[in-house]
Amino acid sequence: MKRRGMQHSLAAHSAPSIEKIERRLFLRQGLSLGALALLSGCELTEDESVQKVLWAMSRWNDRAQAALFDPEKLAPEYPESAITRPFPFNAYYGEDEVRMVDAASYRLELSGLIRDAKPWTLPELYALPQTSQVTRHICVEGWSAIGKWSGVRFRVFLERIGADLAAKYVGFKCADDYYTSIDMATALHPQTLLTFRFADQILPPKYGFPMKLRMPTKLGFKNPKHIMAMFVTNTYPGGYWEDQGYNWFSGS
Amino acid sequence: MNRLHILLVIAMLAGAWLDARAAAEIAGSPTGDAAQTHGAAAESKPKILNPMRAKEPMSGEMKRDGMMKEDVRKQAMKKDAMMQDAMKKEEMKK
Repeated sequence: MKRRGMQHSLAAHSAPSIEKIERRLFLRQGLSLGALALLSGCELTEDESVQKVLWAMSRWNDRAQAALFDPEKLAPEYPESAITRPFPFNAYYGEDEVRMVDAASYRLELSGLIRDAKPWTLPELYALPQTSQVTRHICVEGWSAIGKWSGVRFRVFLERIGADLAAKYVGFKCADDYYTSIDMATALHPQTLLTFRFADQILPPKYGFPMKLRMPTKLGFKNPKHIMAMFVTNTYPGGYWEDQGYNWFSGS
Repeated sequence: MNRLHILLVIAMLAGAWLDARAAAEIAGSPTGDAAQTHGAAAESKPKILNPMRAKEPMSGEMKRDGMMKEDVRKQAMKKDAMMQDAMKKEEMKK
């Protein structure tokens, strides 16, 4: 009886320590699993079922980021003296292969959950109310640069075309075959601009002529250049890099 | 293991399961003829004045070994067909 009482008191006394040990065990098991995954190298990560789990975890991560996203919080803006010169070029092809889009025949194609999906010419787009921002472009590769972009607030454009603002996604198709999509909350963010100018000049081809969607709240690869078509949808559209495993939400 | 750990693990697994289901639904939807869809879209496309050396490896640091520039076009065509199908269904629901 005495012994039992002692055990009970010991157990009560050491409960926090046992909890600590269990927590350590939990972490250690997690680390062991990670190490096992590393040991087995590519074979494990290339496995289709593992890919599915990783993809599902990434989508869960997207939802967590979307829940934390504050649609009113602004990204820092900078004075023009802080602009990075020259601004870096980055794409999946070299600068000598930059897409040269013919301005005269250009029409921005619209589709999906949009009331007035007529195509837009460049003069029509340039006639929309314009605004500028000096913001930092943050690349997933680990570098960043400050630039000045000008264009129409994307929210204004979406309202003008009668886009369903309650839809989940806006997708983009680009002249270099690149494609990506964003969440509607980011599309409506006050700093999300459909830009036609860079450093007060018509957007040079290497920075995305005829237009680039600029979002200082997202990593660089989410900012599509050479946009040819856009659509509004409730079906998850993914994106080129996102479909290769990069995180879709990719807030910066 | 305290309650917080358990709740976190359950939430992660539930989220992952829901997303896996959504992925399976998307993957299971009929995709139509990708090339045909792309061809139809190309008719209204504005001119692009220079070719790309598509059969070369990609530039930049986001790529994995072995990725070619033409992979982007191939993926875009597949995705385009899939999205057009899904969006048609959305419009019919409206």
